This record gives sequence, structure tokens and C-alpha cells, in this order.
Amino acid sequence: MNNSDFNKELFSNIEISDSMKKELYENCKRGKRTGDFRFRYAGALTALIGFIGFACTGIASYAYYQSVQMRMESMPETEIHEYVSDLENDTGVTIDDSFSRKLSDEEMLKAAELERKYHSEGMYPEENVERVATLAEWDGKSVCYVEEDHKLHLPDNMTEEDLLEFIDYSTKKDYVMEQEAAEITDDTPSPYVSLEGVSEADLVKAARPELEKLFGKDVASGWNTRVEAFKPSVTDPSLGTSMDMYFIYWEQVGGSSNSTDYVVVINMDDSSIGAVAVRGREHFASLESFSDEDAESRLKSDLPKVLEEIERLYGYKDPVSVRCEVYYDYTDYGENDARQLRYVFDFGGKTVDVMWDLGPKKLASVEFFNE
Amino acid sequence: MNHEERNASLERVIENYSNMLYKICFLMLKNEQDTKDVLQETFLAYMTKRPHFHSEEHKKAWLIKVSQNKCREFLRFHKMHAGIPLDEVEESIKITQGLDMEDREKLELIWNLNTKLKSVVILYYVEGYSVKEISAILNISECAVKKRLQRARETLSKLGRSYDEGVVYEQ
Repeated sequence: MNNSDFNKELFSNIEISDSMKKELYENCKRGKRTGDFRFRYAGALTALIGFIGFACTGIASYAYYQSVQMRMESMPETEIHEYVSDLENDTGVTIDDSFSRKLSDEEMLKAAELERKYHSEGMYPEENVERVATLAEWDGKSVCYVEEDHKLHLPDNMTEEDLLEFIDYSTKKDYVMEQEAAEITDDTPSPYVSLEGVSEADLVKAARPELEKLFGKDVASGWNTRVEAFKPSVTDPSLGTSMDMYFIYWEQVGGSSNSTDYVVVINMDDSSIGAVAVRGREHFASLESFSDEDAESRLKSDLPKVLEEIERLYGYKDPVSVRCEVYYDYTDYGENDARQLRYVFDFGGKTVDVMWDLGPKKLASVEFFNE
Repeated sequence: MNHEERNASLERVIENYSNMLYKICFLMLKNEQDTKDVLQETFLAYMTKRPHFHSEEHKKAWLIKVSQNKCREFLRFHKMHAGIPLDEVEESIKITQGLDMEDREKLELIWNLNTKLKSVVILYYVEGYSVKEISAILNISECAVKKRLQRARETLSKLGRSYDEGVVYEQ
């Protein structure tokens, strides 16, 4: 293989569209984050959630957090080497490619529930994942790592023990990856800063009514709260304060990046609401699935209901313009697995960007931008 | 820098670099929506962090580094998102249109490489970065870059033989 084997012409059809460029510009200009804020998830945050669990729910949760940590740290060298080997041989593009199949929605929901128990109650599998050399050796009845194809094979029917083994395997593999990975850093200051001049309790108190307005009274009751101050003006004062925001999260005890959580965003400069949302793969898995064609047709038929909700909740009506799309977040166009619509309304000086859950016909998120 | 200048700077950087980043990230993530999200996060980081650049090359390398970091975060934490075979992507985006069979096969080989090897291959062979530059962008040792290039060559050559024999193995 040499330079002449691969030239830029190979990729000439992979081109960004003008409409995507324009959307990127508009979104970045407004400081809009991506749809599900997926990039906030990091190992350190998972640990932080554990500590917040301790702060909010006391000694028991902290003990279990420590228990998971100890479980990871006490892995025998041979087991660590197995995970290192699995990671080296993991040739999939995504971690999902490392499994023989995707989890079904039902399995995903059950796994999310068990994952919380794993992290917050110390519910662990009785056995480690079985390992065999060849696929022929696997009986198809339990979770099994096959060295021949470097995949974790999942049985057709996953029992609670199977799901716990799956969670345990993934958690340990992630832990080993964290230890092994050389982080790529960009060496610039972080726009995330500590809270100054405002208490976390006051922010939660201010955000709670907005959460309940959209999702109902007592939503996420008893869940942990966490607050982040996102202040890009610290790293670049010329940005002004229009992108400085507080993020107030409601997270389940023992929750992971897959779990349902809620977020309210408050703009720092005028304390107005920037966004309210429910997120997470667990929430997504709980939604009814529709064909691409059905979802496309719902773009028009659901619009009056979406507008009605925005007027009822926030008082905005008669938009100047509307952009809409079937929103493929965890799935792709053509899979006939559509679950959400996205509408972007221009109310003249105020843009409202919403996600609409097709099944329950409810708003999943609203974001507000001043033009 | 006032708002107008800042927005103009953003528009310029999107105009100049979004296509290059799109190609690299799309090959890594194999999905248009994910690629858009990574680019949005990358340009948002550019907007909010406003790093000082010594040159346009420095700016380009920084953008690649941040986007690769975002791709890595994405692949690391977005666990349930399956990789997509080239044929399926072709149904919505004609990325091999106009390519002869040989080039299509080459693209398929790269498409099916694992991400660690693919990022090095793209930066070395397509973007023309040196081993030393890739080492700095990906924050790995020069030795690691060389090893990955070697492994990529071996893998591609193995895949190429398999392909010639009429069997394509997903890597």
C-alpha cells in the first residue's frame, strides 16, 4: 500500500451539503448543543454521579459506589489481560459491533433498571461471562465471549443473570479502557466553571417548576440533582454572556449514560429558560416505533397539536416559519424505526426548537433561542 | 472581536474546513447524523474556546484533533449504535458513485477498517500528514502511529486478498 493507492478522489462523493453547513453555522452561532447532549458523558462524570448519589442518598449508596469501584480494582490480572485483549481485538466501528446483536427495547429497559441496581445496590451477576475459543463451542444459552470472532454473543432470550453478566462485562471493559486509553486533549481552558454567587439549591428550585410544567408534577421525584455552569465567556470574553448557561440535571441513583434523565437549562445573563428536556436511551427504548413513511406523514398531521402545546405552555403562537424533520437519533433512516419528530419554529425574534415523541404525542424537549 | 467578527470567523472556518472534517468523521462514524453532531460539537468548541492558532495548519490540526476526540467519545459512549455496511449507506448517499470497481473496493476496505487504524490511514494517506504530525494530532507516540500504519497495511492487504477471492470480511 502506498500513497498512490489511496487518493482524495476515493472520497470525492463524501461531501457535506450546503444545507448542513448552513445548519451548523446557525446552530453554533446560537451555541446550540447537539440533540441529546451525548458528549457530556464521560467516565469522570459517571464517577461524579456516584458521588452525588452519596451526597443525596447517604451512606448506603456511597457504599455501593465504593463496592463497584472495588469490584473493578480487584479484578485479577488475568481478567484484566482478557479485557485488554478484547479491546485490542475489538475491530468493530462501535462498541455495539462487539456484540452479536443489539439489545431489544425490552432488554434495553430491563438492562437500564438492572444497571441502576448494579451501581446503587450492589446487584452483581453470579458468574462472569463465559469464554470459548470457537463459536461451535457456544451452546447459545448464555452470554459468551467467542475468541474466534472477538464478539460477545448474546442468547435469544436474556435472563436477568444474562443481562447482569452483560452489564458487568461492559462495565469492566469500560473500566479497563479508561485505564488503558491515552486521552486526546486539546490543551485549551474548559468553559465549564464552578458555581459562583448562586447556590445549587436555588438553581434547582428555579428549574423545578419548568420541569414540572412540561413533564408533570412530581416528575423525577427523589432523583439526584446535579448542576453545571457552562460559561464560554470565561475563555473568550468577546462571546458576551449569551451562551453562558446553567445546566440542572435530574438523574436516577446509580444511573448511567443510558438512563433516562431530565435537564433544565437556565441562561445566566437574564435567568430565562434555555431548554427543558427528557433524554437517554432508556427513554428512547420506551417509545413506540413507527415506519419512516408513517413518521413522515405525522410531520404535518401532528403540527397543530405541537403548536397547541407550545402556545399552552409558553404562550408562543403563529410562527413566521416552521422547519421539520423525522429525527433519527439512535436509529437511521430506512430502518423503519422512527420515534421522534423535530420542529424548529421561528416566532419572530424567538426560535423554539422542539422534539416530539410520536407514540405518546408529547414534547420531549423544548429549546429557546433569541435571534 | 465583536459578534459580527466572531460570526464571520465561524462562517469562514465552517466554509474552509467542514468538508474535510466531514469526510474524516463520516468515514469514522459511517453515519450522516452522527457526523453532523460531531461537527457541531467541534465547531462549538472552536467558538467557545477560541484557541490561539499560530497558522492555518495549526488551526486545521486542532480541528481534526477535537473532531477525532469527539468521534472517540461518541464511539466510546454511544454504545447501542450499530455500524452500517457500505451497501446500506449507499442506499441514501451515493458515496461510490462514479468510482471504478478498483476504487470502490479500496473505499470498502477502508470503510471496514477498525477505527484506530482508520484514523491513522485517513490522516496519513488522504490528508498527507507525517507520522510525527499524526502523533501530535492523535496524542499517541510516533511508534504507535507506525505500528497502526503497519497493521492497517497488513489488514488491508489481507482484506484485499479475501476480496479478490470473492469474500469480504467485516473487520
